[in-house]
Amino acid sequence: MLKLTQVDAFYGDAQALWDVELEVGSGEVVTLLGSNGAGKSTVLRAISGLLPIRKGEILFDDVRLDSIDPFKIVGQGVAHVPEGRKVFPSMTVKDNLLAGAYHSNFWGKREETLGGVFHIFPRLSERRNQIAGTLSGGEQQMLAIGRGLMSSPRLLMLDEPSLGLAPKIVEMIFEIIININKNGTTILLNEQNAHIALQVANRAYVMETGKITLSGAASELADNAHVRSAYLGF
Amino acid sequence: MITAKLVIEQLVNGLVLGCMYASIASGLTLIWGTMKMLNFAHGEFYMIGGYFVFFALNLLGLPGIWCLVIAVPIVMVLGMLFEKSIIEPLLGRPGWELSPLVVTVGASIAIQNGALKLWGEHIKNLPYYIDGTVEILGVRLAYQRLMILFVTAFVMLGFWVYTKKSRFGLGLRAVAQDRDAATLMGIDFKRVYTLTFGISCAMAALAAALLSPIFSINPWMGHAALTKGFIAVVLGGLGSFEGAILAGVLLGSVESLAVVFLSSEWKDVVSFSLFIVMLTLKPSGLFGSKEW
Repeated sequence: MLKLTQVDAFYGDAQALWDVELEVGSGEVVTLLGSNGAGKSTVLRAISGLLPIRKGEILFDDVRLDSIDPFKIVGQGVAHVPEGRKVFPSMTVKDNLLAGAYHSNFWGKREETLGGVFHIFPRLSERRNQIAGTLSGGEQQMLAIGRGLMSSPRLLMLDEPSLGLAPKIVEMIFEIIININKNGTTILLNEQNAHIALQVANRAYVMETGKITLSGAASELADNAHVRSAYLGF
Repeated sequence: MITAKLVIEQLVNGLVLGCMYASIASGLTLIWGTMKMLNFAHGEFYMIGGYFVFFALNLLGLPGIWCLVIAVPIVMVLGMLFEKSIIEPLLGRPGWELSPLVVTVGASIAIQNGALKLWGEHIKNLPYYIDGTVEILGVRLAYQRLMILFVTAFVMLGFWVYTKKSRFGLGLRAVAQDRDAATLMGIDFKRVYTLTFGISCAMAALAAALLSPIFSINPWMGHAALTKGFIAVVLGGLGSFEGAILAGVLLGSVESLAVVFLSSEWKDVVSFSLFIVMLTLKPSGLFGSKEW
């Protein structure tokens, strides 16, 4: 479904990604592991076009994502829930969600999709008229995911959904992520919390300083000596 | 002698002046709020708006109000072309904090002198769009001034509702609050920028078109308008639409009352003092923390 081939990306003159090769199959949950600054977010930003790549190609089904305008990528069926949630702070919850359906492919069906998102996140429905900036961290994360779902994506990319959240909320968010996947949405997940990521994912990639250093089935990586010492703390 | 009637008449004049400040300031704040840049050429679009109404009136011989309807959209298109050709190439390059400022200051000088060269230094006057006066509670008010109040209020309210209710308004607010997130939602921020710039210029042109019969048209008229517009923007809180309108009206009223109670030479002293006091007491302005 998604295939990155020999991708290099730069922030200014500093190279951030080196020869990244990554594949996500339809229906999978794939996770990117790695410490802060390893380049996980950069991979997602490259896929969604926020950071144009300098070399390589990004193929989604048969479309070269790296050669279309960034704002058109959501129309291809790829939704990116960015790191730090990035909800629109002065808008209401409902307007945030409607913004998620802004693309002309989804605008016509927005009320219907909104109902579906409220069904997944009843909390957002209760708070639909609240200003997003006043929500708690967990609620903002739900809003960010809900906003991503407003484009009925085939691939949902989640960047650090557990960041800064209490363990109980993290558990709840991950249950929802699993359910979203069960309903047919493919998921690419960036996660610092390797414990939970390896439980949820089918396959995993490990990134270090902008390069993919390891990859395999999540269960295999959970037994890998390097992963255990570096990311699982054994 | 200061009578209640004089004060009320001056207050109406102040509101009219305030409408001009509000139109200019709301355009400036709109650009600041979405694009995070200051447009120092804004006053020149105001000036061009005045000239275009004048030309439409003299060359086409249409009634005043039709000249306005023609001139304002033309200035909007000019503003969009300006943004597309001069501002957009700066986007995404280093130095965005400063580059639009330098470019718009340069453009302002060029446009002002271009106007001087092309259209001459003679001050042009426009006739009133509507003649006649009405007497309300013993105070005589010109229809022209009442029209300015109503049209400005209608346009500002209309635009405010538009940003809250329409799809484009949603996109505009999204871009203003988080450009990257907006891009992820499928919003083309470059298009939003171009349209926002055009709308902002149209508001300036509208202000000029409405007020030119009262003030007059010359190549330098944009300068004073821009200065007062900036004061209103800062008073209201940079980036706040509601703040800019409120502060614009407030500024106009205060200036007009200063004319009654002090003298017309003190007008600017009073408005700048208000500005300095505001910066000292509440630097973020009336609605400073409010975002789009």
